Amino acid sequence: MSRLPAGALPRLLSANADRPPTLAEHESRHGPLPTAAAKELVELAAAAALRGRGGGGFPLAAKLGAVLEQRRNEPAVVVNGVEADPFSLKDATLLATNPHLVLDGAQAAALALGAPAVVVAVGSRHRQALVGVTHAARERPYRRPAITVRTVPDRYILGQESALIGYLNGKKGLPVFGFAPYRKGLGGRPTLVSNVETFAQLGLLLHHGERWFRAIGEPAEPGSALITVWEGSGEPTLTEVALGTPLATVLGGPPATPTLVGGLGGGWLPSGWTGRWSRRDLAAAGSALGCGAAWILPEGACPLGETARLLRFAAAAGAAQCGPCRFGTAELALLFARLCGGDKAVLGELEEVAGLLVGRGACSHPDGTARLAASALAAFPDGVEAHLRHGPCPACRLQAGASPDGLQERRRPRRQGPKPATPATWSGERWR
Amino acid sequence: MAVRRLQIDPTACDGRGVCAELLPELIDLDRWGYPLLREPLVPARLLPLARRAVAACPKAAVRLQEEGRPATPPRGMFF
Repeated sequence: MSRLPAGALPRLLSANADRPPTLAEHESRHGPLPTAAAKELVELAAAAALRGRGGGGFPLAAKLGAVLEQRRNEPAVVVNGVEADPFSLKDATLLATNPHLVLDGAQAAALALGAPAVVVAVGSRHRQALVGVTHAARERPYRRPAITVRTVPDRYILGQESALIGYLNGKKGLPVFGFAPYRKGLGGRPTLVSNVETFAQLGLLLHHGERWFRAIGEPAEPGSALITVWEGSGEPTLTEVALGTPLATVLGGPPATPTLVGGLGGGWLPSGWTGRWSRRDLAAAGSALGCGAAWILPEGACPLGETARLLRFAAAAGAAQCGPCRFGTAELALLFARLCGGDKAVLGELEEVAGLLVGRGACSHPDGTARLAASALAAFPDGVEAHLRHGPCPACRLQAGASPDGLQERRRPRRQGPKPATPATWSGERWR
Repeated sequence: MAVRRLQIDPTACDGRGVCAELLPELIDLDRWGYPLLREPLVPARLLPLARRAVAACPKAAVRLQEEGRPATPPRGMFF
């Protein structure tokens, strides 16, 4: 049945990088749109231990089961391709170069759940992804479930599922406390929302079966994973590896400099780290698989100074709804910058503030920010000591960031033209 | 009697601090004035005070829910 050898990589990425495969090419590789009954789908996802690949890592089988329980109402399927983390490009690349596999997974899930519609939300900076997925959706002969492609502003917080669905529903795109998309999501329907890569993995699983899927990876974490690798200050490359591959193999040699794994909400690995690329190993090292990005710090850059810059970006990127996000992330960034400047008084305070961020927001953005700071402190004790003893290092003193270009603190563009008139009903203070 | 669990909606909370004043046994304030739940489970003797804290929150951010049940949004006259 399977046309693809089970142990071969890449699975998710198409072999031809120049253009996305046509539907015919895609079908000769994987077969036509797979169909599965709802129960089969849940069992398959559970058997393959498939987890969300957007950063949360929630088991897909649990999500599917929760939507199924609510089937009195017609469900919906949302493919989250916002990918606003500045370090991640995997979803955009997948949508641009192999969109049919993603759409197979999404349409098959929608068919199984009885959902009439699939919405693919693409972040506005991913132009190629938008083009790729739109063309693919037009090319497909499967008219039902209908595919809608929507662009979403490139705002970090919109990648969070409750913010995204709120935005798609025409509300403010802000995270919601106690959000249960499986009960009330897109348009009030029970909604299956997951990351682009998750749907592509689900497509593979449905096309080729569980045994094929498990041929690579670890028993607890089978299958492959996409990694956006940033090496030096050049362009990122996308690689696909089996989960559980040693980091040294992923990067072609043990990293000579510290590596940031998992993007903004991830954590630092010290140079020469010998663990594996798996959820378990990375979490044990105080990092996180997150969005599956690896930034190998350029030679001569200061990991602490870079962390301070990233924290500042994270503080500005938050929704600033909850107290810990509104005040905590900004204070954390400030304290970290003072640490880089050699201020001895902040170390205890840093740990206290990082502790106050964990588990206290409506989304996990404060948690991820705290993890970034804590992992830097844990991975570079010598660096911290050197900064505290001798003051800022040359890199910190120059304030020259080494991070990739995508990491510019984005400011809102100035409004052009005259200020719009205040509505007549405006009573001054906003009623909250 | 069913166990009650105190819950604070962090997006609604504005850090007014009323809850911590009415229920210092269970709620502290952090360095920014936002509530820190010391213990989410409400013992029976504190239940009346917890209800007062729920009622007094100007942002309706404090909720009391029965253990095991999903949180329900607060229902007021204007909802």
